[in-house]
Amino acid sequence: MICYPNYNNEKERYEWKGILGGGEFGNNYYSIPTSAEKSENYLIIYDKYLNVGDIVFDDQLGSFYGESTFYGDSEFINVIEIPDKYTDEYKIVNDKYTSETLPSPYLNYETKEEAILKYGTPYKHVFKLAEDGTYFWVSSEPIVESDNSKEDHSLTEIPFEGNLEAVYEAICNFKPFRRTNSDTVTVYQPKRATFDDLASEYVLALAYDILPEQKREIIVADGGIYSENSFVNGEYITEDIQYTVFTANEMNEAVKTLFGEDVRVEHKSFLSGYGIQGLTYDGEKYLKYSLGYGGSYGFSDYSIVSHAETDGEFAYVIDKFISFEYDYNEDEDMIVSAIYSDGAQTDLICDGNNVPQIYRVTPVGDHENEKVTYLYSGRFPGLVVFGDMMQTYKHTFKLAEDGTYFWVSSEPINEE
Amino acid sequence: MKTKHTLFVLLIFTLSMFLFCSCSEPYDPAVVPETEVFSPIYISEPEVAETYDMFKLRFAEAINRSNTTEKTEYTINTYRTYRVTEKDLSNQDRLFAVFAVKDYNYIKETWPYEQFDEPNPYNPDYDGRLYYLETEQVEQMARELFGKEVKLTHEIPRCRDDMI
Repeated sequence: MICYPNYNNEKERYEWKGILGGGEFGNNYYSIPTSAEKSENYLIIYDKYLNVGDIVFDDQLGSFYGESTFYGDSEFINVIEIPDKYTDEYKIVNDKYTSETLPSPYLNYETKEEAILKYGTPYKHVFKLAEDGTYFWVSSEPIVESDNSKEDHSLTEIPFEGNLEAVYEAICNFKPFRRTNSDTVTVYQPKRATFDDLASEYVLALAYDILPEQKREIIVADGGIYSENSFVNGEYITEDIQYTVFTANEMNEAVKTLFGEDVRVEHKSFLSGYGIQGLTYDGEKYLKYSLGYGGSYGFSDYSIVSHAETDGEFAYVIDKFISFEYDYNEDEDMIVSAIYSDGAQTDLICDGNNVPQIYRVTPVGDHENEKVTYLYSGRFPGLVVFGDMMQTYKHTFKLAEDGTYFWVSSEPINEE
Repeated sequence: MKTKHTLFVLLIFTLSMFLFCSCSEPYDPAVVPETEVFSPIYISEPEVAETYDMFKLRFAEAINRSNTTEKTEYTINTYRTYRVTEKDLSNQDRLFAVFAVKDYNYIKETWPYEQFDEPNPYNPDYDGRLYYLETEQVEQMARELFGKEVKLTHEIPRCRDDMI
């Protein structure tokens, strides 16, 4: 938004009558700051940029629609291909458009940040310190990888899609339901984690999720057949038990799909996903029962994929991770009590009282004059603002003979 | 003899350095000296967040399709395919950055004004006031955005439609 003043030559001043109005629409764009560095006299901010490009405004619809051509610059020169899954769609219901689905020129709200970080053009903005302690702008430039730097390493960026994305989602984006013991510690650990660093129960829970759908259907039992399993993992199982059956060998195949041919898992009972289902192992096969409830208790993990690259033998997925621990304040509002950089919640980034002010959401209503001392759960100002606080991880996947990937390790890394 | 020779060499060296310094490039804030040592800083730090907010408002908001539409050639855009500094911006670009505001009410609350008409009771946006800024104030705003070396020519800021 700009102010449109006149310049009065006679009085040598700029004048504005406070008249508001419309005007042409500027181009829509997205930008996200990714990192910053500072010296005695300068501040450099790096960000990613996407120009939405050509869009159509429909007067009757009162909205923009149409497929965009995204650009990596504001000069409309470098076209950026954005997969359809990252763009939105409108569902229109009115006199003219009856239940019609139109493409939207904008990125999908839910995955917008991920798309910008993956496909946006990296820019560098330089600011110089002024005498009054503020910074003024001195330059902006796209960051272009030089030919020399390309020769320095043999890594090439690859699309984060297909089997690589599927294996990443199955292992790295798995949400455990409880964090009370080592059984549910994820691959986001303070040091490099390999298969041996994962609990068997956790590996089984990951593998269970990729079993064929028919193996995971719930079948209603005919009462009491598996009554010897009425107590499983401390949970009492009633007679209207629901279960399904699959063998240890079937589970082995699923484990090998995710972790490679050479691994062996110890078969034992475990809880799946958010704890809605329990699976007991009777020495040969797994029996499934429904607990009827579940959810993540007291914490939530978030990750954003940055990019993927390969050296031909291995693929590397780089992402950022953060883990929130929740508690309740005196008003019984759920608040963030701590922020960690690992899934085991051992490396504390900051406790709830020290969450930087910029991350906090101002209370509303009766509380709006209160000093904000915590971050309200569920009212995050967008995960992207945590970007610089998030820990960068590198996940290594190996290319199998059949052309699929399996997970090898995950480790925290320092960004260069 | 050896001492005299050494002194002569030193004299020539000193004169050379003096001449070199006299003929070197003028001060340019956009040239970051190699002596600057940078350390990472969180983007959540207030000085970073506030600077980036300023940048987005003043230098990024006002982009437009300047290379294809003559009508909008004056709009600033800093996300170019090449490095852009203050020297690459037109006078209109600078005025564009200066007059970018988050909220019109900010102007109404901070600029001095003259009451030239009665407020319109049916239109709360029309208050009958003429808000103004002296050229020195505008030049100071430009210095805060571009540094004290910036040169500004005072003229009517072109805008995207005829609203004045």
